[in-house]
Amino acid sequence: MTLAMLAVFLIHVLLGLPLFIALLATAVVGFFFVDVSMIPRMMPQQFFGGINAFSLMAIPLFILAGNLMNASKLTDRLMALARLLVGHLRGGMGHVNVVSSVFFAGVNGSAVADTSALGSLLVPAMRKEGYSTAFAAGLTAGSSLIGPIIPPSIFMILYASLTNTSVGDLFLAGVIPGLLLGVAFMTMNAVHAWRIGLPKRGGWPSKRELAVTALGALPALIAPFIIVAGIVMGVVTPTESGALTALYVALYGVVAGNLTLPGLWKAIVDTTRLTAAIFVIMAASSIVSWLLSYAQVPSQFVELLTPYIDSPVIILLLLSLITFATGMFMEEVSALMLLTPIFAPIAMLAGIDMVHLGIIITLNITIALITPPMGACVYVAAAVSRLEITALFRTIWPFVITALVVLMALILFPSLALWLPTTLG
Amino acid sequence: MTRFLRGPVALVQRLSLWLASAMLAIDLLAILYGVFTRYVAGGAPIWTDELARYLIIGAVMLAMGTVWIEGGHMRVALIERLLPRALGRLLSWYQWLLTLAIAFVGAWISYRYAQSVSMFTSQGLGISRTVPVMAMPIGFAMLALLALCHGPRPLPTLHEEPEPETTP
Repeated sequence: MTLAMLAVFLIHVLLGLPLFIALLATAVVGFFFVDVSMIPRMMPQQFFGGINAFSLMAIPLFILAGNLMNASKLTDRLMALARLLVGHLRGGMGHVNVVSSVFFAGVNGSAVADTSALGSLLVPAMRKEGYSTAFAAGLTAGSSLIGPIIPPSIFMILYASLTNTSVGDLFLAGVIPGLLLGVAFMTMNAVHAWRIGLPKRGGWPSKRELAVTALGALPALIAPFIIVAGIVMGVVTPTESGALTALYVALYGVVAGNLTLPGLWKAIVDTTRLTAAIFVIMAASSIVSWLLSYAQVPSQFVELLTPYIDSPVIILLLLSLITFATGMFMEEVSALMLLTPIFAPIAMLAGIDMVHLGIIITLNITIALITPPMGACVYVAAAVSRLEITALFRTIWPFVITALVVLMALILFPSLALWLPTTLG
Repeated sequence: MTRFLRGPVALVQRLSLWLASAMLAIDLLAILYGVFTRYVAGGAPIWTDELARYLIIGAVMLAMGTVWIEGGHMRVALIERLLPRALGRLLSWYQWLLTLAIAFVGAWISYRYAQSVSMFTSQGLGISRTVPVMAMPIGFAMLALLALCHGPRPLPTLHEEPEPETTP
């Protein structure tokens, strides 16, 4: 049954059907194996139930906050600060790309939005500095992976709702891995800049210049602290935190005179479009997920991995391998929705902390955003750079390997993820 | 899509997206109202949580058809570009028929399901559960309607401009 469902799903994905249609078709085939008479009751019930959770309401609100940040021109201020901090180094524009992604990640949990917003501005700037288009686009796509790791994160909210894990702990656990990704990509960029002989430009900025720019970017810089502190201290739920962040960014935009009523409405409409695209996949995935549970796939999976139960590292490596391979051929939200309920029981048996597992799965799923043939960030980076997609797929692998090195470090040293939630949570 | 249908379809698209966006905006206000009453008025009403959930579900289902016709749903549009024209056309027909079938069946079974839960009342808002669940048949019916009007033509991809709404 599982193989038939997998085959139906992959065929329909390759045939170019929207993923939610492919998932619904897969579910219909699955019901033929289980009990076809359950279709009229279970399909609508699971579809509705899959998106009927208050914690999931945080997703559109954080997307809205990100869109409002763009409309309020806060993104420009963050980039100006990044340019001032690292723009004068060798390969400065590449560093600006990575640091901007770190800043951007603090308000927007979407890697695709990061690639689209920063790529259109920074790829031409990097090209002007002497980078090849392929490297500039690759670095833009690669550094956008920081978005879903540093809080807030759409994937973490989803994982938390599936496993009853604290969103606050997950958000805290994502901070160090996100910064590690940033350091890894900056190191890679520095080596590349040195190899192709890029010059240094200018010197350190003056203290006054730095203070003025930092002050301009402050409203965006403090947003992640408000989000995380509010949730961790139990003052607000993640959903309320999303609403407050959206309100905060909108108020800032209005006060600064950058956000007009049409701009506000456009941000809401764009959010509605993206929310609809994400939520129908979640709803359709929950039917397939229910079918897999009904067919006892998670317990069969536990039996399969029981010989390795004493070694959490091997379990995490195996789970990562499966997630990585799945992520290459499956859209990230559906992969997360389908794999998490299967992985959670074996991880619990192996004594793996659920927050640690959440970070590993989130990073794996995020890396899939830049792997061929379905990496959404690569498609967006290619589109904004006007680069042939196949050319970018050929040059993206060093960025994938860099992210995998960070993943490996997180598997081997769980404290990299767990230290912050243990200390502050 | 014939010239006759373009106007009404564009109107349905605009209206549904406008309504869905308004629901999202109300959702934001409802959540903020909940926070405000908890910390300022001393107690949050229990209906804000439920209203927020139902509004988002309603917004998602209302926008589903419009996002489909705009090519905004996530999909891999790789093979259809590599196929010869005749096979590409066949694939477009298959995509269209499957979408139509799922939309029609989805509308029908979710309508039946919505009627079957009419005896239950929601805890927060105190309304029949049929009300929020009806978002599903309405959403699938709109998807069916828009797919029917769109016809078996290839969908635009995320990075392509959608087809213009009027012909010169």
